[in-house]
Amino acid sequence: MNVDERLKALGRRVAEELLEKLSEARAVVVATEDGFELAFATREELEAARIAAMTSSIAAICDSVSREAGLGHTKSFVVEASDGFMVMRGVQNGQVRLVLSTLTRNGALLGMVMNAVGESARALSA
Amino acid sequence: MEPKIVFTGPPGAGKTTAIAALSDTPPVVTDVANHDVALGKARTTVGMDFGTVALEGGEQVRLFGTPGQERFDFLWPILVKDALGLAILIDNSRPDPLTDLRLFLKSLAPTLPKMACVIGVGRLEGHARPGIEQFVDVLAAAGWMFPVLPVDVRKREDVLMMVELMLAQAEAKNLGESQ
Repeated sequence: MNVDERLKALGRRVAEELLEKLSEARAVVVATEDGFELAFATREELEAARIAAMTSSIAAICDSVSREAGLGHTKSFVVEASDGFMVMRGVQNGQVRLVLSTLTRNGALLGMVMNAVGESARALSA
Repeated sequence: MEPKIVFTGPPGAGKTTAIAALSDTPPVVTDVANHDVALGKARTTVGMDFGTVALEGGEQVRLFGTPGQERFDFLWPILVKDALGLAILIDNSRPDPLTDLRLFLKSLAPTLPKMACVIGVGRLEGHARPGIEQFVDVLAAAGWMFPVLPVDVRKREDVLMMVELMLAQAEAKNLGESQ
């Protein structure tokens, strides 16, 4: 994966801070848009590489749907499931596009998670 | 419902190109910047490709393309579900095209008995080995007998030939099952 170490370090810091901030978060994964795991922080055993590949696929399909439907540029996308949420957000850092994903347990407040993910995305894009 | 044909195969084999060459409508693509230096290309598909083509006689066929990298293998069975046919595209300039074919045959083995299948081998002109007969041997060793043909995925007629072969196989299979 040809992504520089500075960006990987920033990804690790952002992932760890976001996980710390959200008590209901199970894991945070930062992926490149082509599905490589750049960084992750987790409270449980998790196949971060698998999540990274899946979130990049979802992001690309969401971008495609937004284009087709004339919705403009996709900002975030949410999987709402019986046992929690997955909140994902695209992030542009220089030439590299990333996907920041937060996996939560049931009981998390979606608005709060989206807000925290948005703040972290801004930190990751800087 | 219109028949569904899926193009799969390793990265760089030309799945997106094949669908673009054949589709009557601008294809839906999900390609993004590639960060894998080993692939040697600027962009790669991470979701799916989609296009449609009307055949002679008016039959509409839906064309789907999968990502090629193994890390996206969770998408392969999703996209292949309920397909009438599967085109496995192989890039003969890759280090081990026969192993590439074995990987896709193994990954998609549960679905293969339900559909028609064609193997298209690309870039044979500059990379003559392995030859078509070696791909046939790999298929036979895995217990399959599918057509294997050289293709240039940039040529509409080559891609159309693959689709027509799959439709003919599917028709023969239907006929066999109804007798």
